[in-house]
Amino acid sequence: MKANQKKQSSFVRLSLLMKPYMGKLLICVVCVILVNLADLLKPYVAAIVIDNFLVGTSEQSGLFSITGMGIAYFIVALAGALFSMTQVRLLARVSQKILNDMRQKVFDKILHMPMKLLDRFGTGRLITRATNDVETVNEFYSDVLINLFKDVFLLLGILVMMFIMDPQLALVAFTGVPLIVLLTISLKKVIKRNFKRMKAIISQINGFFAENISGMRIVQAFNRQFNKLKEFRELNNAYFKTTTTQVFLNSFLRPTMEVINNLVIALLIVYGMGRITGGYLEVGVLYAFTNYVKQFFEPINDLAEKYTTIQSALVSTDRIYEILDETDLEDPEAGTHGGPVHGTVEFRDVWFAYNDEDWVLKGISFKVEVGQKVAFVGHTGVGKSTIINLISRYYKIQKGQILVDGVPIEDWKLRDLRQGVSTVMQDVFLFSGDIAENLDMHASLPEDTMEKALEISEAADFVNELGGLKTPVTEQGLNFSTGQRQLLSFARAIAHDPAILVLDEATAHIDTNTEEMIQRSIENISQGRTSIFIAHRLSTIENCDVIFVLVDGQVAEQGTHEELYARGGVYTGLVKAQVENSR
Amino acid sequence: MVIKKFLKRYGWLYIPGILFLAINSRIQTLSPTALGDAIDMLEQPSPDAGMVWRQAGLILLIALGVFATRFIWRMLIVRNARSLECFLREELFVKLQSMPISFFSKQRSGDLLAYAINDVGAVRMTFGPALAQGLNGIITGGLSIWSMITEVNGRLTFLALIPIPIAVVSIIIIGNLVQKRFRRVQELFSNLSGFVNESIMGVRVVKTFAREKEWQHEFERTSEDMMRANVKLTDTSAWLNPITVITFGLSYAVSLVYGGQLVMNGTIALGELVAFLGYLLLIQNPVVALGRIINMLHRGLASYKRLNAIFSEPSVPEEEQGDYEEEICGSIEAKNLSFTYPDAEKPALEGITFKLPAGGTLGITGKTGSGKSTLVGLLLKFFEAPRGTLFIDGKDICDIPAKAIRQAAGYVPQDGFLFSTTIEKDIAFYTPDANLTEVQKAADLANINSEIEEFPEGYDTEVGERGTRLSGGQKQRISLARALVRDPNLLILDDTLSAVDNITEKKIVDNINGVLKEKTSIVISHRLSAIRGADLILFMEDGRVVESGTHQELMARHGIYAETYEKQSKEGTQHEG
Repeated sequence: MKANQKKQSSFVRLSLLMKPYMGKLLICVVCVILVNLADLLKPYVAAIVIDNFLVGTSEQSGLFSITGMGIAYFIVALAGALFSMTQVRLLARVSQKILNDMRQKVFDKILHMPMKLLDRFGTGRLITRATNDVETVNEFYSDVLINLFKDVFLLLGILVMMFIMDPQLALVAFTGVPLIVLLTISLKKVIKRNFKRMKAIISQINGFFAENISGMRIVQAFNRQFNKLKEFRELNNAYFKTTTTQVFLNSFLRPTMEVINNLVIALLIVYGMGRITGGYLEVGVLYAFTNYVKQFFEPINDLAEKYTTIQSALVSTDRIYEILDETDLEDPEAGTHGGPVHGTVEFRDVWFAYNDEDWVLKGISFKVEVGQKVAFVGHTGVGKSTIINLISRYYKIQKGQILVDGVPIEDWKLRDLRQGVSTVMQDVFLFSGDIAENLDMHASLPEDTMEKALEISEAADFVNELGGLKTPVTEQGLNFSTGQRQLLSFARAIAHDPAILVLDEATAHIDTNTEEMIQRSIENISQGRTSIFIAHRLSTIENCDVIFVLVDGQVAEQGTHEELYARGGVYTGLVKAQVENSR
Repeated sequence: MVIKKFLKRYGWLYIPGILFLAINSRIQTLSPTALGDAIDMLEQPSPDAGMVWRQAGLILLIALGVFATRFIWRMLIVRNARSLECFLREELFVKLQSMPISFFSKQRSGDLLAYAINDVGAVRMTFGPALAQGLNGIITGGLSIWSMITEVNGRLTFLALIPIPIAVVSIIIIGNLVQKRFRRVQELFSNLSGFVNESIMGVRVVKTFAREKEWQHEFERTSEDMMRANVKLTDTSAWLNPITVITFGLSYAVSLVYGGQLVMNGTIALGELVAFLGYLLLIQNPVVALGRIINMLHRGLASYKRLNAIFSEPSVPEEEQGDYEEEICGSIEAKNLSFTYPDAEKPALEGITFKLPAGGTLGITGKTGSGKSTLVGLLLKFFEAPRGTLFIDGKDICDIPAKAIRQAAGYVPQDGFLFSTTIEKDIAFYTPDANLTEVQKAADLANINSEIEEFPEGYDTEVGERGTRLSGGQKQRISLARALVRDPNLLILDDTLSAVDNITEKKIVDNINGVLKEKTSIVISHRLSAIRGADLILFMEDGRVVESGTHQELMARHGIYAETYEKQSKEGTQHEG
C-alpha cells in the first residue's frame, strides 16, 4: 500500500515537471488526435469510393466524385504526415528541455553536497543517478508520454469508427481483441524474462572477455589458455541457448497476431455474406473493416511495451529525487567573513567523529602562525589525516572551534576559505584533458603562472619533455607514474597560490629517486606560506618549526625535532621503530 | 577467412532458410488477391455461400502458411546468425589467447573488447536480419509488382508506383543523415557521462579549489550541447515517417482515382482493385526498411574488415606450445643480452651478462623503467630474446618452448592481477584440483591466510568487481600465493611486494626463504632489504647492469647500491595502509 502511494507521488512529480510546457504539450496532444483521425479517415474514404461509386451508383458531382475522394485521401494523408512531424519535433524540444533541466539540477546538487553526504551516497551510486536514471526518465518523456495517449486514442478511435460504420460487424471484429491482448501480454512477459537472462549472460561474457585481455600475461604465464577457453565456451553456449529461445519466441509473437487478424477477416467475410445478401452491408465497409483490424495489434503491443518503461521511469524518478530532495548542502557564497586568507590556523578543543560518538579527535588544540611549517605525526588511525578534512570544512566538527585568521571557519565564505587553504590528498585525482586544464581548474590562470608552478614543484622537467602544458592527460592521469601524478598535484595547488598548504604525505611506495624529487618539491612549494604536513615518514619533517605528536586524538607532545627526540617520549619511540623496521 | 570456416560448417543452413523465405514471400503475396476475390464474391447479388466459406478458409490457410514458413526461415536464418555471433566470439577469444604479449601492449584493452562486442554484433546483424529483411523485401516487392502488373493492370501499376522511387531515394538520404546525427548524439552522450563520472570521482578536488560554479557552467554547456544534438536528430528523423505516409498516400490516391475509373468502365473488377491496394501495402514495409538495411550492411562490412585484420595478425608459433622432455631446473645465463621492444627506438636492455646457478636467488633493483621487468618478460618468453644471448639450463631459450618454461615458472606480476572468482579458485588457478589445505599453506607463506580467514566468507570470498574490494597489498599477496601453490622450480617475483609494508614484507621474505633457498628465484624490488640475501644482485639503470655482486661485495664497493642502501635505512620508510 505504501509502495503504491510512493509510486503515485513520483508519477505526480514527473507530471509536475511538465507544467511549464503545458501549452506546447497541448499542441502535441491536438496533433496526435489529428494524426489519428487521419489514420482513421483513410479507410473510410476508400469505403466511400467503393460503396458509392463502384458498387453503388451515386451521381458524381464536384468533389463528391472518385477524383474528389482521391484528392481528399491525399490531403488527409498529407495533413496527417505534417501533424505527426510537428508533434514529434515539438515533443522532442519539450522533453529534451525537461531533461536538460533535470540533469543540471542533479549535477548541481551533487557538486554542492558536503563530504558526509557524498560518502553516504558513494561515488558509484551518484554516477548512476546522474546518468542512467536520468536517461531512463528521458525515455518516459520522449517515448511514452505522447505515444501512450496516441495508442489509447487510436484504439478507441478504431472502436468508435467501427461502431459508427456498422455496430454488428464491429462486434464480430472485436472477437479478436481479447485474444490479441492476452497473447501479447503473456508472450511479452516470457520474452522479457528471457531477454533479461540474455543480457545478464552477455554482460558476463563481456566481463570475462575483458578480464582475460587484461590478465593475458597471467593466463599465458600459467599456461591456462585451454581452461579459460573451456569456461568461455560454457558461457558462450549458455548465451546461444537463450538467444535461440529469443528467436523462437520472437518468431511467434508477430506472426501469431497476423494469423489472428486473418482469422477475424475470414469471420468478417463469412458474417458479411449473410448481411450483404440481406442488403444491409456495403462491401466498402467490409473492406474498411479489414483495414482497421490490421491496425489493432500495434497499439496493443506498444502499450504492453510502455508499461515496463513507465515502471522503470518511476523507480528512477524516486532515485533521482533522493538527490534532489537533499537540502543539507554547501553554499560556497554563504558566510559573513570573506576576503583573502592570511594564514593562521587554530584548533580549540576540537572534538570530531565521522559517525555518532566514535570520536577520532578528542579535544585537540593547537595553533599555527603565518608562514610556519608544522607537521603532525603519530601511529596509524590516530586521526592525523582527519585534521585535513576539518580545516577547510569538509566535515563539520561536533564540539570546539576551528579558526582561520582568528575567524571561526563557519563564518568564512566557503569559497574564500577553500581558495586560501589548499589541501593535497594522498591519492591524486587528475582530470582527463591536458596538463594546463588540470592546473587551471577553469580559473583562467595565465600560462606563466602555471609554468612557474610546474617549475617550483619539480614537475617542469618531465612535463616539458612530454610536450609542455598541452600534454594530454588520460582518464585519472594513468599516463603518468604515481610520482609524476603527485608532483602534478603539487603544481596544481601551488598554481592557485594558497596562503595555507595542507599536505597529506603519500604512503605509496615509489622508487628512491622519485622520492627525492618529491621531497625537493615539497621543500619548494612550502616556501612563503603556512604549511601543514601530515607525515607518514619521519625523515621528511626534521626541519619543521613545530611537530605535533598525536596520541589518542589529542596532542601529546609538541616541539622541534631536536627537542622532541631529546625528550625520549612518544616521538623518540616512533623514530626508533621506523629505523628498526627498515633494517 | 574466418567467415569461410563458418560457412563451411553452418552455411548450408542458409539454403533451406532462403528457400523458405522465398516461399514465405510468395504465400504472402497471395493474400491481397484472396481478399479481392472475396470482395468480388460478396459483390454479387447472391453470393455462393460455399464459395465464400471456401474463400474465408483460403484466407486463413494463407495466414497459417505465412506463419509456418516465416517461423521456419527465422529459425534457420536468424538463429544461424546467432550461431555465427557465438562462433566469431569464440574464434576471437581463441585468437587473442594465442597472441604474443607484445600484441597486447600495442592494443588498448577497451578496443579489443569493442571487437568482441560491437563488431561481432554488427556482423551478426548483416548475416541475420539485414540478409533476411533485404531478401524478403526484394522478393515480396518484386512479386507484388509482378502480380499488380499481370493480375490487375500494367498502366495502373505504372501510375501508382511513380511516387515510390522518390520515397526510396529520400529515405536513403535521410537515413544517412540520421545515422550521422545519431553518432554525434552518442559521442556527446559519452562526453557527458565521462564528465559526470570524473566530476563525481574528483569532486573532492573540485571542492578543494572551490570551483563548483565553474564546473556547473562546464556541465551546463555539455548538457545543452547534448540537448541541441538530440533535438537536431529528432528533427531529421521526424521526416522519415511523413515521407512514407505522403508518397504512399499519393500512390494510394492515384490507385483509387484511376483504379476507380477502370472499375467503372469495366476494365478491372472491384476485387482486383482491392487486391491492388493490398499489394501497395505489401511494398510499403520493404521500402521503409530500406534505409535501415543499407546501414546494417555498411556497418557489418566495416566490422568484418576490422575483425579480419585481427584474425590475420600472426599468432605465437606452434612450436612454442610444444613439449619439452627435460625438466627445467632454472640455471640462468645471459650473455651480452640486448633487447629492443618492437616499435621502440631505444633498447630496453643493453649488454646484460650474468650467470645464476640452479637453485640460486637473483635480486634485481633499479629505477622504474630501468629494464627489470623486461628481463623477466624475456625469460618467460613474453618477448623473444635474440638467439645466443639468454640460456636456461645451458640451452638457448629460443630452443625451449614457451609452454615448458611457463610450466616450470611461478610468476607473480607487479599489479597483483586477480580473476573475478573466489579467493580459493584464484590461488588454485594453476592447480584447480589443489585442496584447501594446500591453498591455505600457500596463503600462509604469503602472509595472507589469517586475513582471508577473517573475511566473513573466508576462501569463498568473491574478488573483483562483483566481490570484495581488496587492497593492493592483499592482491599482491594472493597472487604470490597463486605462484607458491604450484611449488615451481623457478619463482619470479616482479616487484611483487611494492604495496606491502616493510614489516609484512620482511615476514613474507622470511616465510618463503625456504622456497627461495631450494628453488631458482628472481626477486625484483625497490627495497633493498628484500633482496639483500640474494646470491647475486643486479643494480640496473637505463637497461644496463651498473653494479652486480652479493650484498657484501656491493656494500664494500661503496657505489650506488651502497648509497641507496644507506639512504633507505635512514629514511626508514614506514607504510600506512
